[in-house]
Amino acid sequence: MSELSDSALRHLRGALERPETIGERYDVAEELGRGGMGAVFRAYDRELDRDVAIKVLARAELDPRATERLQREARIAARLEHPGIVPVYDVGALDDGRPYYVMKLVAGARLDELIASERASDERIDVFLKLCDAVAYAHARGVVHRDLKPENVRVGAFGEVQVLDFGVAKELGAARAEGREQAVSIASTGSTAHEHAPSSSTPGPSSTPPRSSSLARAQTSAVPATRAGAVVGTPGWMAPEQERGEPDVDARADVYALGRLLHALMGPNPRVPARRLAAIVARATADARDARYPTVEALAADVRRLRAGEAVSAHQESFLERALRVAERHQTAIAIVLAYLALRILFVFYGRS
Amino acid sequence: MSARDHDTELGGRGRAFPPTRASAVRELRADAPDRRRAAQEALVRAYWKPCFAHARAKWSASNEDAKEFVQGFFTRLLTPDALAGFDPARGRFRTFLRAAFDHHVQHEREAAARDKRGGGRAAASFDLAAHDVADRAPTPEEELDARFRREWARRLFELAIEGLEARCAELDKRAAFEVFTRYDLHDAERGPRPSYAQIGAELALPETQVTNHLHWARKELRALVYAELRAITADEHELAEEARWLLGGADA
Ligand SMILES: Nc1ncnc2c1ncn2[C@@H]1O[C@H](COP(=O)(O)OP(=O)(O)OP(=O)(O)O)[C@@H](O)[C@H]1O
Repeated sequence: MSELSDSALRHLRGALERPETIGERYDVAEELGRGGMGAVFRAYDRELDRDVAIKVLARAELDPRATERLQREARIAARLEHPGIVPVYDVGALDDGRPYYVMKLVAGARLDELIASERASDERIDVFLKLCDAVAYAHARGVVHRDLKPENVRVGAFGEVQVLDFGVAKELGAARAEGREQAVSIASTGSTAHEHAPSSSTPGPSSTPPRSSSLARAQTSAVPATRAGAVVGTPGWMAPEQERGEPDVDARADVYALGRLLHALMGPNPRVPARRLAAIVARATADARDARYPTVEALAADVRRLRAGEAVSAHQESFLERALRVAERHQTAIAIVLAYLALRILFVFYGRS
Repeated sequence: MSARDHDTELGGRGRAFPPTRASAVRELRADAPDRRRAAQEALVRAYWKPCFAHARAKWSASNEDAKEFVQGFFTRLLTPDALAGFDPARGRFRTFLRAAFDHHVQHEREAAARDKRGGGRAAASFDLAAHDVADRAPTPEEELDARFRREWARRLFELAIEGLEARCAELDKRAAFEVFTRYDLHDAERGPRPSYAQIGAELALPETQVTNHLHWARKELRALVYAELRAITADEHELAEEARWLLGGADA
């Protein structure tokens, strides 16, 4: 054979990385995309006769930490059962040890495509509010996404919204685990008398680490997705505290990203009251997280008010603004009253003559 | 059916596949001379081209000199203590081999220089090489390393593809090899890769058949690459490491 060209070599190495089948169940088709850890393929599920998406760790990434990360991502997503969050169906490992997980194949446009499209502002607000619902749900289950950006949100033909990629999500459960850890250490203190009972067969307390600390180690090794202090997220969408690599990032980091998304979605739009929108965005994306909406629900509530033409909490309006807003909101009623008055005047005028 | 036909049958169609070749790296230390020779052949198969390209790139050797260096090097590999310095725990065989080859070339060059001072041997070719050195910018070591690895990967794939072709002929699956060649061996310099539909139309196959062939061929090829790799790595650990890089989608 003639010499293999560089381009053919590169392609072949990529093609061989992809499994043709996964177990007996999935036939792997084309690659849908590639991220930091691996690739996502479209596949056919023979058992349930449907198409699915499978995320597989890249072979070059195969090490215990990356394996744990992918499995963790699957577990987090699997715990979140919400129409706005991509469901996970199955997990496993390939013959060569690479972990994978199977999820719903998401169709539809990415949010950045929607942003660039001609979609009306009402629809955009609907999409945004559905996105807020999904994120708020995740928060309620103790999960902060930390990488909300247009590429990670899909919008279907019927306006259904799906959030993808919990790859760098943080479990606020870390805090819960800390709570549990404390409980355990209290419990073990409670049983000191028993444990400290002198015994020749068990080593003394000085040589055994307290039970709580080994438990804490086990938990901390299982919980964080990333090295402590490592910056995760995407510049431009992530909150300043996240960019600084602060360890205690919470739900307000997602509030920040949602604020950026709202801004990108609504853009300069003549049909949206600019000042109130700007005020909402400004509050959601405040540098100091204490100045932000405390929760996604609060942000969503303001956006609902904006849509309904009510005053928003983020903005103190002047009398004139208020009058104009009320006028706008009650356009129909005001038009009817005006028409009635006009008729009265006409009636009076013609009635006289 | 004659005995001869029967033999062909045994050696061909019915052969268990892919062959699990023994590690040449270990076999090179075998007692039996024919086992050592077979091991040497396996290494020559995989490493001749990368070493040749390396001699040209790093040592700016002329075509003839490069051939001679490679030949001399692989002959020396048969001497009893050739692998004395190789310890699988300390590094990959590929890295060891390249260092040993560099050592060999350097040694040969020095010997040639001594000969020249003493009047005579290989003077002309050495002058040519010196001229090459002056002409080319020196290549940094890392780049040389990456290049050696890329040539090595290319060679392994070439061997595996040869194996695939033979296997397709054996199993009467020439269509699969044809699909594989057109799709996976497509050279990007010659325009966009044909679609499955195009290939189907050209070979009068339904598209599903095209993808089936392609999947089968890749599965076979993967096994063949593993087999080739196993032959030139010291142990399972090194095999896994090399496979991870070779088939892992990492930058070539
Ligand atoms: N369930 C799915 N259905 C359809 N396409 C998907 C699905 N999941 C991911 N993709 C696509 O696959 C690509 C890679 O996704 P992946 O989550 O691996 O990476 P990412 O989000 O781009 O990067 P990273 O993991 O580094 O943050 C993306 O372009 C995404 O749109």
